[in-house]
Amino acid sequence: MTDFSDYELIKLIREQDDKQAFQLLYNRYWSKLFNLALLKIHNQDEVSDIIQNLFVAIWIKRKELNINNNVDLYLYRSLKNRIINFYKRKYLTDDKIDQLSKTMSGKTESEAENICAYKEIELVINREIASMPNKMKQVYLLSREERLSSKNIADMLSLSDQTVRNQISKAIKRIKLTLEKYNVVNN
Amino acid sequence: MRYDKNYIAGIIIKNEHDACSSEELLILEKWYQSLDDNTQQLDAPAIQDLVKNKIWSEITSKIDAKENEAVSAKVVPLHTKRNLFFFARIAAVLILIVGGYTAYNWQTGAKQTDTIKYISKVNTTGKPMKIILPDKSLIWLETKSSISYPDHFTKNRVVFMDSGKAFFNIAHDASKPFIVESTNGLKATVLGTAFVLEKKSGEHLFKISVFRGKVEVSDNSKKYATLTKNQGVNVNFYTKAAALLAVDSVEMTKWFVAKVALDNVTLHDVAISIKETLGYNVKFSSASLASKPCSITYNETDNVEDILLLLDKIYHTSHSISDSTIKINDQ
Repeated sequence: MTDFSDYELIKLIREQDDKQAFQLLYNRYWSKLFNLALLKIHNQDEVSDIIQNLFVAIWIKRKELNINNNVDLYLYRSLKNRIINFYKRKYLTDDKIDQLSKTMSGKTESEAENICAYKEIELVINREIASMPNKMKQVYLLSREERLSSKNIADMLSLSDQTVRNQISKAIKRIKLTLEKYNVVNN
Repeated sequence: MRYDKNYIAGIIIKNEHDACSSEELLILEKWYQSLDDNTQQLDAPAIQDLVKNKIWSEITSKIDAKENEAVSAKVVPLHTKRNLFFFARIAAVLILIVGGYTAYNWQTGAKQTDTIKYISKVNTTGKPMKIILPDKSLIWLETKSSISYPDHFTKNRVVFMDSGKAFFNIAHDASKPFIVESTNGLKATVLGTAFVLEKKSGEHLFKISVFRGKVEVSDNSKKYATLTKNQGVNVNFYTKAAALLAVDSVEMTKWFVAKVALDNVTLHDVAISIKETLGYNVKFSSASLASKPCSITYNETDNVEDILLLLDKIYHTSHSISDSTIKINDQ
């Protein structure tokens, strides 16, 4: 099996739940992914967590894996998303700590709670999602928060795949328009 | 270029909703590229292998946990003890076996009702790492050292040491001997004591030094020594030759900080410190006792019983320990 191509391994994982193929894929890529993440995150424990979660997600969602020949590209993209998400969480946590330390150092509550760019963006997006028609909201949240594929959402809600794609596309347009309307330019 | 964290967080949130402008996407990409720090490098190949196996072991454990959630109602009991016995017998190469054991069970799809998860720690922090075991025994693991232990102990308390140096402060439990097993089958068996186990890189020697109590050093073929305080032994695991040594207990703990000094606090504060440093929950018989003023200095390398006896003597209290809870009463 060591001679198998990446694509053949993915096929075995997806279609036959082949755990040996999964381990081979891990052995093949862990070092490249680990080093790339370490370059960006600079902390081995955090990087280990990210690599673990990436491979756990691949196994859990193996039936939905829609990868053709570019397995490496898929892995690098997934890793990049996870690294960006790591920094989002880190920046938001840092900001909370900053606000807390401002409050504790005697600044007034309003000074300490300066609305940050990201908070405004989050607020506007959440309001827009809340105002969407129920079906659109349901489809959009399943695609963003649960990270389900359009096919999965379609099966779950007894809709056609195309309807789900249309709903997601309409939801994104609404969010973009609202952000423009509120002129949320975070600079 | 320095990027404003709030600004980048805002773009990331927009990107999650596919709502970034092309300019924002470009900024996001430039920020991402700016994260690179080429000074970050992985450790030596041996450590890399440990990291690789540790991550794989975690991946299989997490997947098992997720899949077991779904099938727990259908699980066929398979007695864990037999697996553990088998595991202990073949424990020749610590991390590989730990990883391999997990992988084997995972690959063959074996299910267990009482799953023991092995936790592997590879200290790459550059400073000593403190670990509190499920039985409240403490380990200080020197940098570039590695150890594995179960998430809970069953009949025996067995941990596996692969390389480097560690100080063990073992919680006393007469019914469960504590065994530290090295990759080469050398075992240090104790009931409640403190000692250092060291395998120097590139040498075929294990050094065991006793800080307190009694330690029996053996492998499957022979017993090398029974050591007491300030005694040590070097064991060559190729020739099986052992040489007894006199060791200095001060030297054994010089490489990590374990002193806790609490001045002008309350007994409640001491309880918080004990929870943080030794892992025990502390309960008081009354609120007035908890608020009693107190000053105390102790070492985490001390036996917890000794620390409590000291408290009893100074503050006229009595205590009892049950599992991980200490109860302190007015005398």
